[in-house]
Amino acid sequence: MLSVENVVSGYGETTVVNDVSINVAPGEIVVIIGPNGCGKSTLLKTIFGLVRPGSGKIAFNGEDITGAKPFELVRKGMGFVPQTENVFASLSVMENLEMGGYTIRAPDLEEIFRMFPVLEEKKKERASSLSGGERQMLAMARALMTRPKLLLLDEPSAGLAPKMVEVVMEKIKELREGDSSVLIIEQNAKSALSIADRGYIMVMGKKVFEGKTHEILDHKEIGRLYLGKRGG
Amino acid sequence: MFLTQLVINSVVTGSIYVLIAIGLTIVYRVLKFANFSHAELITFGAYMAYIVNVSLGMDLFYGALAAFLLTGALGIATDRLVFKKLRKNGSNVISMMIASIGIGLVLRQSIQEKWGPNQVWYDIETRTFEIFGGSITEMQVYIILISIALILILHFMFTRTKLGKAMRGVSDNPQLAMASGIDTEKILLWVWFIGGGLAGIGGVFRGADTRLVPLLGWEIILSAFAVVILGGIGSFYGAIIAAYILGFAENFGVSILSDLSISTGYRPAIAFMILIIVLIVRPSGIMGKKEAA
Ligand SMILES: Nc1ncnc2c1ncn2[C@@H]1O[C@H](COP(=O)(O)OP(=O)(O)OP(=O)(O)O)[C@@H](O)[C@H]1O
Ligand SMILES: [Mg+2]
Repeated sequence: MLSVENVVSGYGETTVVNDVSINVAPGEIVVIIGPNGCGKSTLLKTIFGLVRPGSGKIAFNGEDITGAKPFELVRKGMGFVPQTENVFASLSVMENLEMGGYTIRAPDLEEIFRMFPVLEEKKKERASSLSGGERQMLAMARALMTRPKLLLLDEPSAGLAPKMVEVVMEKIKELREGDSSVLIIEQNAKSALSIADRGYIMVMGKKVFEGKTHEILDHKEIGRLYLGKRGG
Repeated sequence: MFLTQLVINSVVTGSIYVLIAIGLTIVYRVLKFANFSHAELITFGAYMAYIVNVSLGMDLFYGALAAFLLTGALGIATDRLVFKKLRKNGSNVISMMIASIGIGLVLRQSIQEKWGPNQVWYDIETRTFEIFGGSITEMQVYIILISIALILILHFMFTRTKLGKAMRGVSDNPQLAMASGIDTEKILLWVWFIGGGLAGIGGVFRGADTRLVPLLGWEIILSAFAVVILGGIGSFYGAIIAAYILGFAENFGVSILSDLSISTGYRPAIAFMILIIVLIVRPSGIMGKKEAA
């Protein structure tokens, strides 16, 4: 579905992502974990064409998409929810969803409102007036309007109350049932790992570990460093 | 009555400013820089209508239509030739603003080369109506009505059409607009076309209400900036209200100046004073918040 090979990217002269290779298979939920500033968001932005890779190759459904523009990738079936500023704050909830469905003729709002009932209640309200959790719902709903085959989520649970985190994770699990693949970045590693199939660990721009979810959870050192487990 | 005349003049002035200020605002909203070449887009529009109206001998209505289309096209051209390249280089808003001053100089000089520095006039009838003791020309009635019609059309566009909503989306959050599958560069073309086109029509209004000179746009750009700041930078509805407020402030101000036997040559200073007072008292303007409507 998605394959990233030896990608190097960054901003200007600074290299932030250094020779990273990852892949996502159809129907899979894959999580990338790593400390602050290690380049997770930059990797996701590079996949989505918001940052140009210096070298490496990115393919989506077997097609080379290295250097493709975001709006082209959306048309090819990719969706992206940024880490910050992920809703159109001055637009209404409804208008946000319309933006999400910009590339399609007849967006299916019923499906979206079934998944996120709160958005239907508040469809006339400005996105800026929503609570943090509602905003995150809207951010995901906006990206789901095109029914993407691969959804890229940058820290969907950041700043949310534990209960909201659970709800968000449930929604992500629902996506897989709808046959979509999901690539999530998370600091909140434990909750993300609870729904993921596989994971990667990134440190300082490099991939340092990859494996099945249980391998990451059982790995002593990773547990200590990134999952907040005590002892050894 | 004298008061009626002041009110009429104020509404006419406001109607001339309003389209110009909206054009300035929508370009600002998306590109985040003060486009000084807007002044010459205004002048350019006025002279394009002059070609149609005087050189080709057609009704000024067609002149205004041509002004809208051609000035919109010129707006796009300035973006393709200059601003787009600066964007690609990652230039900051100061560079953009200075480039816009440069473009303005070149345009102004070109207009002067072509039509000379002297005043010229449109070929229009000047029928005058009397209402409540004030007088208003047929042209001024058109200016007021066409402005209102265009404001309503723009409101409809921004709130009901896919293009208008996409324009708001792009100005709210360009990256997220791209992530939604919107080709932001294509939307930018529309922003320049409509922003430039409105400047062009504003130029025709000003030219029809006064006369045409190469400095036509330059004479009113300060007022247009005052309107934009008073309305809350980037606010569409704020700019509309502010345009009429400034129209009233200038006309009543001039009347007060002459009552006090002060030269009405200070008229442009009124916009300046309002601008400075707003910046001191309420820098965010009437409608201004961080997320302006
Ligand atoms: N637009 C930018 N221009 C220049 N440097 C940037 C930019 N965005 C991020 N960086 C730098 O790149 C590095 C990696 O940032 P990135 O956002 O990819 O990290 P991250 O792993 O997502 O961190 P976090 O967990 O805090 O979200 C940081 O040092 C950051 O300062
Ligand atoms: Mg990040």
